[in-house]
Amino acid sequence: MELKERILIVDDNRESLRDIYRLLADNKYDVLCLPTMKDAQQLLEKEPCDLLILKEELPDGSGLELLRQVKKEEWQMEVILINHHGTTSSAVRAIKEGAFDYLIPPLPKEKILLAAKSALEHRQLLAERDYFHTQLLRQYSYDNIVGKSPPMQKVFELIEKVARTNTTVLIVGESGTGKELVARAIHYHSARKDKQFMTINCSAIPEELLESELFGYEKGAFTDAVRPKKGLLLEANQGTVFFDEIGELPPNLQVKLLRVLQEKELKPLGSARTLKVDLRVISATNKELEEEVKKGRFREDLYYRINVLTIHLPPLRQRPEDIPLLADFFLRHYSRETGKRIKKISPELMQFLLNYPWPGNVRELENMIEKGVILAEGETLRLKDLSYQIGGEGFSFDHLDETLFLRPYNEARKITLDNFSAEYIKRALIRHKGNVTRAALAMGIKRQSLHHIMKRLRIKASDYK
Amino acid sequence: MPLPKILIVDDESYILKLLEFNFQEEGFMPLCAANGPKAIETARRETPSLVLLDIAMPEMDGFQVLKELKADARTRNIPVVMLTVRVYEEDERESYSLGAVEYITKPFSPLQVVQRVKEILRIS
Repeated sequence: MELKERILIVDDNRESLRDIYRLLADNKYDVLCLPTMKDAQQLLEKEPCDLLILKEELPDGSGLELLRQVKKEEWQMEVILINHHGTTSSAVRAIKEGAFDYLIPPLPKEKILLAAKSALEHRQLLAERDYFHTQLLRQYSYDNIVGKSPPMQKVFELIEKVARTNTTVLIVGESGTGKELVARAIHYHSARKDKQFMTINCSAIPEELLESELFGYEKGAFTDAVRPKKGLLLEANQGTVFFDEIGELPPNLQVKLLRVLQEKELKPLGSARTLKVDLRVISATNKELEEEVKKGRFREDLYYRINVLTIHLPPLRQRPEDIPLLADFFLRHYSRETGKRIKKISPELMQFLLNYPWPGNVRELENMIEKGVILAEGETLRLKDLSYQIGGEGFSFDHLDETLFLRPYNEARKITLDNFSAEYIKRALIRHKGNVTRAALAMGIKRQSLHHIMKRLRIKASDYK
Repeated sequence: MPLPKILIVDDESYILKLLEFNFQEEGFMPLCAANGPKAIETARRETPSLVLLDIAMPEMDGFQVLKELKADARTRNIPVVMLTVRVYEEDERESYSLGAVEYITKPFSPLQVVQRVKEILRIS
């Protein structure tokens, strides 16, 4: 069936309603006719239209009110107002409110037809713009990972390649860069996609429970083991296991995991028999695992086993070109989720997002947009919608680690000051693109002093170039 | 020749008005009913040429109205076209099994509904 453009005409005058109806229906449009504003509102709440031709003076209200509702609700249609007593100033007001055209009778057929055609062409252009925007986002995203920057395009390529294999992968990146999303993308593009994807956060499960959770146990293996339990690894058999924060895995479990990887078998706690297990292992860390190996905190053999291929996720500050794309992606996502119709980010807010150093990376950006969307009104997300998140309200204790208050004062003070110094220096280095001399100048300290503090806090200028 | 009467039954007034306009424009005499009991009463009194009947109505739904129309000798032979936003196969099956002649899903183009009614009534 041919998809016709749909036009709704709202006019309480039967004669003029009929004239416009005949004209437009004869020109192959799908035309609906209603006599009151209330009827039109009921219809538009349920059915889409491409064009609304609306008499300004209706028995149950002003057409201008309906125009405002169309704009407020962001119904995707153009509006043409008709007013027999219209004046230039009423026309200007209607156009300012968002009407596409304002017609004052007498209305020859050509004039109505031309106005309708122009409005529908305009609608078509807007729809195409939206379509291309969505296509662009699709082009620059991989599952829910968004980025057009060269390092992210490289990440997408790697995911694509590595998904087809069975190799172990180590994902390295700062907190909030999306390591789990990458692991999921690998799993869901692999031959194991119909099997389980199991996330194990090595730092979230207490050490004493981790072994029994991972490997399971037999009845009577320990006091509380009244019935046997299948471990998480066995539950994920034939699927993918994602070890988040693998650097936190205790040494005794590192040996056991190595056995799973090498021999493809595991032994539940208290069991005399070994069980075959087929897993793909993906790990992630925000630690320098090589350093941990050197310090003897992480087994070298396990390190090489989990690190057949490494995917480096760049911090957000190193890929500023992705910020507008990501902000738009989250804006659309949370607008949809909250039922709001926020479509744009104000230039002022975008400038702020581009300048902000994003210590919490993409997760921080996502959280900020999500909270902003909840507070925002209208079609545009503005800086003021985020202002409560970005301070100006004085110092807050909210972000401090609660355990700090349980430490000795001098120690807690040192940790807090070091954290502050590290953050301050990182931001200065970001602003000055890793140039230590310029950063020191801006900070009002000597270059040598900055070098000294950076060395103590293990900050490398090269990370910010 | 008297204009053919079409009884339109829907609890949503905008649907009644949309169809009413188009049927009038195409030379019919539309009659409107906003609920089941009113529809049965109008059908018995006016004996329309065809009934357009919404399924999802409060209190008395379209299926119940259809059963009543088919159970009454005065209205048994009036063709009934069901209108619905529901696209369930079982609804469609039930409509036909109860004696409806057509099943049209919303949103529809009023002009297409008129054309379909003309075909059913063999009006050129």
